[in-house]
Amino acid sequence: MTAYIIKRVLAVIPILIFVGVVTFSLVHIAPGDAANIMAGDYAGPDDVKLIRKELGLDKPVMQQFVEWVGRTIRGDLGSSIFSGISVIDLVRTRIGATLSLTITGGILAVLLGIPLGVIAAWKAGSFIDRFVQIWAAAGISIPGFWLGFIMIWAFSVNLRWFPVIGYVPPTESITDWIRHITLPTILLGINGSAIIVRMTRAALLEVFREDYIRTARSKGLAESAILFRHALRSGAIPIITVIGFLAAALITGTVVTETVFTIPGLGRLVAETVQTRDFPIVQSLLMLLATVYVFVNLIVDISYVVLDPRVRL
Amino acid sequence: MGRGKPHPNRQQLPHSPRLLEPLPEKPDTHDHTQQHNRTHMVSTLQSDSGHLLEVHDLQTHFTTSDGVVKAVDGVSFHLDQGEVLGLVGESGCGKSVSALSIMRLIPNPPGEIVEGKVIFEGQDLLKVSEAQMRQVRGSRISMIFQEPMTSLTPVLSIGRQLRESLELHLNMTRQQAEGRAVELLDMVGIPDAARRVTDYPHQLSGGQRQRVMIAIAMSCTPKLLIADEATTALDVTIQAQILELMKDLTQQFGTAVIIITHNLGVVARYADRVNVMYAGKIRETGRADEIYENPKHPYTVGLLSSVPRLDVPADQKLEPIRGDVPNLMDLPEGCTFRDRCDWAVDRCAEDDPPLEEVTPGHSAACWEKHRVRAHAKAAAK
Ligand SMILES: Nc1ncnc2c1ncn2[C@@H]1O[C@H](COP(=O)(O)OP(=O)(O)O)[C@@H](O)[C@H]1O
Ligand code: SF4
Ligand SMILES: [Mg+2]
Repeated sequence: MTAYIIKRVLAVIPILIFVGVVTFSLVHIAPGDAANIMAGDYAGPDDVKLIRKELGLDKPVMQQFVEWVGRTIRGDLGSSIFSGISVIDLVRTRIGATLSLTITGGILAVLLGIPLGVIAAWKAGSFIDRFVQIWAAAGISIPGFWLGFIMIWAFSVNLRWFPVIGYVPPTESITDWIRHITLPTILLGINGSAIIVRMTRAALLEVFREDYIRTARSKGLAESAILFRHALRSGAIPIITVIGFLAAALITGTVVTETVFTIPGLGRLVAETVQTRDFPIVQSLLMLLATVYVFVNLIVDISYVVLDPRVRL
Repeated sequence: MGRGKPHPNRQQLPHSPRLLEPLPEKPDTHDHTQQHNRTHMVSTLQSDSGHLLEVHDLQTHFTTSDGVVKAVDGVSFHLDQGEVLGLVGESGCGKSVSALSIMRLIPNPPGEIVEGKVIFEGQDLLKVSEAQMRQVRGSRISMIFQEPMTSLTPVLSIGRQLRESLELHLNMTRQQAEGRAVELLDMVGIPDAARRVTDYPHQLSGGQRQRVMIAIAMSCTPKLLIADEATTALDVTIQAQILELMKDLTQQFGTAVIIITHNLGVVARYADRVNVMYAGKIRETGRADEIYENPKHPYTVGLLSSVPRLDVPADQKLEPIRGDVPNLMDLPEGCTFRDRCDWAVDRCAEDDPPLEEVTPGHSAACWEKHRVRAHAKAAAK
């Protein structure tokens, strides 16, 4: 088991290298150039050249990459080319909002998704199952920004239950914090729960077809014992996989959600800086989010080993 | 060889030290509802006819998008206390569905028992509530399945899976059940049982897993054990060991057995009586030695010539039955075996032959049953 965990942890290194290469390439291959944007509409080619030189964009791409990797490893994530604020400071001021959203949204997604998925699988083909599946299909296919605007229009503008935009940290006022994050949390939670419902239902349906479930029935066990002791335990492994997917859904979800609800978090920071080609920030943020995602999946993988005696060697 | 003649009260084996005393019917319990049920069942232990199990005109259908499959189509048979009944036939002829129907474990949808009676200890199991049925499963009737690799829950220790039955049906405390689980593993010949009890199924070999399945099945001293191809997936030596173990334990506990297999050789060795099934119906039934020596249905003859026999020179080559099992959704008129039969006559195309007695206790469903001989084939025509 320890050997497996060590192997799995080491496997993170090539993954992160790959992610780094892709992140860097995307930012540098993408059309549009920070120097052009900085220089403004009336600048001549010489101005742009000067700015490129200042930003180091005139160096060969390979050299830029090596320098960036070197700085990143030393913990220097760079700073905004416009405001000069360091990425670390930006992240520090904005991570609170994003963590609030992803944690509450993630909890909501799990609390909704797993029970609904279990019920749908248990009563497969029934009215409840059909209802849950429609819910899941809607949660996955309805665009987040559209649903977000509908929610703002209905609950904030018309009913005035919630503020329209903004964010208040819980350290300032717990009630205001709750009022601000309720709608964004629901938006993130609906989308996340839809993914979990689908995975949970599929995983359990697979388990119900297993021979050992028939054995459990032949022993005279009650349906509840079969579900909780035999099926869910075996199903827990694929269901945990969902948490990995959920992490991805939440990370992408925050970009949309924070933009729609004008919440000053990391997601909105990504959206803004991509538009302005503030490449040091985009690079570092993408790298940061990808690293979080990779580590969530690392934890998921390790928990398999702990949960499944067949892998526990 | 076999256990000899059908004997409702088979003799108990002299106790070998490894084998345990059968458990009492049920230990003290505070569960009044269960107690009540059990009393009720004991009072009607046997039906008027004295059979442990009577199946009457059982019909189980599966409704699929392509049509209705009559997987079991009017099956009737009976079984006495302690008796061993073989159920043979090629795969797909309805053996498992018959067994699962008795246990009421047919997945619905798509399956449904549409007709029939399953009278066990005097009670029609098709009429009792699901809660009452759960008290029968694993306690009065237990079942062992074909796939030892997949029939145990992978994430629970074998001890846990054994304890589960003991705590449920015998109302044992956790401590009692833990002790008993070790004894049961020891009984089925798992070496070092006290240590192995915490093992997970994947840590055991196929044969050992099937031993665990037997331990679970026998843990509550059932009256009937259904072994559905329990040894088919194992290699030949292990197969023999498992069959011997089942025989020892069921004889010792006085448990009746339905042994399902497509191997007539296994049946000849272990069963008192045999039902031969084809396309959802019993086509021949009789004492095992009788069926083996003097088969009266061409299908049985075909099955016999497709397995090695002791009484036939070894150089005679084995002959599989030609053709395939017919599509149960679209069975031909007349005898369903017709397309594969060497004895077929014109009448076989029109009427389905009924199961009729050839000699007392031996019946076959074939128009030509009086012409059919074991070693003579169509040439005899
Ligand atoms: N779950 C199911 N759905 C549809 N058809 C089934 C199902 N289970 C069994 N059957 C049908 O019942 C027939 C008999 O199956 P079975 O009793 O398993 O055969 P066997 O004699 O090999 O045990 C098969 O031909 C199959 O078509
Ligand atoms: S009834 Fe006819 S076709 Fe059917 S088994 Fe007998 S001889 Fe063959
Ligand atoms: Mg079968």
